[in-house]
Amino acid sequence: MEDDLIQTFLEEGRENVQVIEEGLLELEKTPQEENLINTVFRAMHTLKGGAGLVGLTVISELAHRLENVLETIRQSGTGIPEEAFSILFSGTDLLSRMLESGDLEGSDYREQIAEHIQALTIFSEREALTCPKVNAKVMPFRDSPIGYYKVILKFRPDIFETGTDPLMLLLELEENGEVLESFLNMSGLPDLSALNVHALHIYWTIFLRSKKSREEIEDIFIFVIEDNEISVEDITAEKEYLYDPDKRTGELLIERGLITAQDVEEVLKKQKRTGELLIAEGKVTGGQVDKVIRSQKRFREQEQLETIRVDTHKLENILNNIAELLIAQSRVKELVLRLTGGNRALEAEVFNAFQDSDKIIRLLQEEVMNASMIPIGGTFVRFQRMARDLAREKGKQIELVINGRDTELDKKVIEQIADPLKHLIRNSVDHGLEMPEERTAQGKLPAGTIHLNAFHQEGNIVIEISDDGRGIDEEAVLAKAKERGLVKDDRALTPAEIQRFLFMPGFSTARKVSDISGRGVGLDVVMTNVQNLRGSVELFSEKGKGTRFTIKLPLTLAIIDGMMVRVGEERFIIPLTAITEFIKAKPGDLHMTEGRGIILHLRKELIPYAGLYQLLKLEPDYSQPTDGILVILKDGQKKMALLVDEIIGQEQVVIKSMKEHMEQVDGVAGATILGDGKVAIILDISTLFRLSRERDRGDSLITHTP
Amino acid sequence: MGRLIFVVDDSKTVRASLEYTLGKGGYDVVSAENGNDGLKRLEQLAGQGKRPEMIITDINMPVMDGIAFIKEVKKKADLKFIPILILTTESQEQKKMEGKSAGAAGWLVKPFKPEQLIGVVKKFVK
Repeated sequence: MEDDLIQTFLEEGRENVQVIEEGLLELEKTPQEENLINTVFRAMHTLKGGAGLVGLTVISELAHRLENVLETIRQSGTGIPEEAFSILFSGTDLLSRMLESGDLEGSDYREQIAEHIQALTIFSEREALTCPKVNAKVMPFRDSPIGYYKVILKFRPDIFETGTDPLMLLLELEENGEVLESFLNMSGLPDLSALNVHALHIYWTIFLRSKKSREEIEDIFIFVIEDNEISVEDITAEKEYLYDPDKRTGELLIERGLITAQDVEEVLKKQKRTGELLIAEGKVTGGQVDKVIRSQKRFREQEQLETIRVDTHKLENILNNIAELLIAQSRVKELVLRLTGGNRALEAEVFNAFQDSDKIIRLLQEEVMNASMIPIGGTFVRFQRMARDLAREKGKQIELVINGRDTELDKKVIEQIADPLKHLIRNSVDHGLEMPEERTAQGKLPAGTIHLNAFHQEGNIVIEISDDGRGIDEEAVLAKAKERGLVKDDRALTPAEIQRFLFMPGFSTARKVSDISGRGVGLDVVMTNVQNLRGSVELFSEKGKGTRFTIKLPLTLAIIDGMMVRVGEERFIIPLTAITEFIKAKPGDLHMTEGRGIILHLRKELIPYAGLYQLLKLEPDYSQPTDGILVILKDGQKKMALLVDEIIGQEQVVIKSMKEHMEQVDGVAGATILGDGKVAIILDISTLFRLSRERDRGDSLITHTP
Repeated sequence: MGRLIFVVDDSKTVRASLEYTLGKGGYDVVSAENGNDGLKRLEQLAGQGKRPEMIITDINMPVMDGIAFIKEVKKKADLKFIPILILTTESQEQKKMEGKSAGAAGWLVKPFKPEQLIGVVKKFVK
């Protein structure tokens, strides 16, 4: 049978060569004749295709080169140039001789063929003909064969018209691995009366375990991946999260945020089947169930439809007004309490009533804030392209795995965090990840993975960027730090202390270090940006294994949990996150040091001391550290003891930016309006630390003895 | 009797090869030489009460090319849901896109191995 096939090819091939030869002869007379060029091209094309099919690679290759020349001539529209004829004739002649003699491998013509291909190449180059690129697909090498994937299949509604049956693709997916869990989303399914049977209204989210690579899984959908919303996400790295023998997979997936709220809805929709079961058991009638489902659906439809765009300024105005409302309410409370004239029972009642309305206002505030939050997914997705382009530029292979797209945070925070994140990803691709060969030599996959993850944790948003690259070379960093005189004594530093050098301004810009350590350009900029958002950056790195940056951010910029303190007549808000404790110091706890001002000894720790009145030049009640209260502040790893007159209490305050009203004031992050209508200043902790250091340097000789 | 697949290609070698491979895979094959011929054959088949479950067509053909052929098939109510696979070469990216917009469901790059052909066909016909 195979021989028959070759026989068929030979017959047809000879016919085609004849067509080509005759066509070329005609073309010598009329080189512009388009139809003739097309005929010759088609014959060459058929010859090439046939040879390829029956496995005659030499003929196929030669025909392919000749076809390329013809294709370019065809595209140019200027006819066949004279010098092209000789090469086309001699090439066709070679093909003809091979077909006639039956020497299909071209063993007798090896030299001529090689020469000819070379001539064709030279010709192509001279004519600036670019050979169409062969789609050489590089399959990433996988040594650990089991992968876990999240596959989302959202086909176009008119998919059936293309002749594609999604069922076939689902079956093929099933053949390529084990389906762990699958969710069917039917939210787009219209009522029966409006149902178009030729349209697809449902979509799938499938969790698959497979020995195939992500690319291979994607290839199943090769024909539909461009025009439909198909995504295959490798979630192998999270598999520990996914499997807990004591828990149902689905629960875990939701718990870990690996499936979206939409998916959760789908899970709930599975409950519809409960209805079917009940009917089967005769407990309820189909009508009853339908009715319930209909009302559920109507509810869901409403939920989908009632989305409107709102100008963020409007939301800000609402928030501002709520803040004003809180202030006004406090005033009313004070006045009413004055009127109760010492009637305890009445006072308690009034107090309770105010507490209730207070609660409602806070709730309102929270809801408005929620409304101004958007998912971070959009920002993440933009990085995907950037990372890919950057990796290609550097000759590296990377995979950016994104989780927690649906995590919501304040629009302003998202806008301002994009740059630092970009910086860190760039850093990972640039310095963190090794070249493919280097990785393979270390037994890693040639393609490096960068994980981008966002989630909520204790009222904060955490964004993690981790890579499986070379990690930070602590020795190199330490050596550089010593060289710069940043490490005075020879005491052993912890890895965290060493890594902190990277965040110091000016440190990391030293090109040499960033090359050795594979880390570091401009990390101080990242730190500053994040701190401006009242967030923090932590770094965890293991040499050879990778690096992880953890950015912690407040949910919103508009509200802050703070502690109100007083110095003289002024009240200040200190962000709660910056406070570790309050102490009342005894005289023996404080010591004068040369060049470093006053130091507080607290449980073997040495903490620099400063009075808030000194830093902000105020008139305090107490100027001695032992008279007032010391607030122990932390900023990253640094600590500081700050003297204030009094602690008033914990407050949740709405931040009002002062930038519009006055010039940037050192140590001040913003202001808030208190219940009595007075303004309290919100302190900017990192600037306080800086002010304190500057003061110690400048005023250390005129210190106040305790 | 196996599932019916309809092949349109002007190359005898390609037709023979498809008939051979698909036949071995348990499919029945009817073939035509170009788009025009293809439409006629499809009408004949309809007259016998037969409808192919899949169409595989070349693009570059004399008389009526693959793109025009696909467009014609998609106009016919009884044929429009049949998946159409186009045969193409890597130098025909443009044609591939044209074929897709005309309504092809997929493509196969020539030359292909028998198992590749069967693998792709199985995406549409079990």
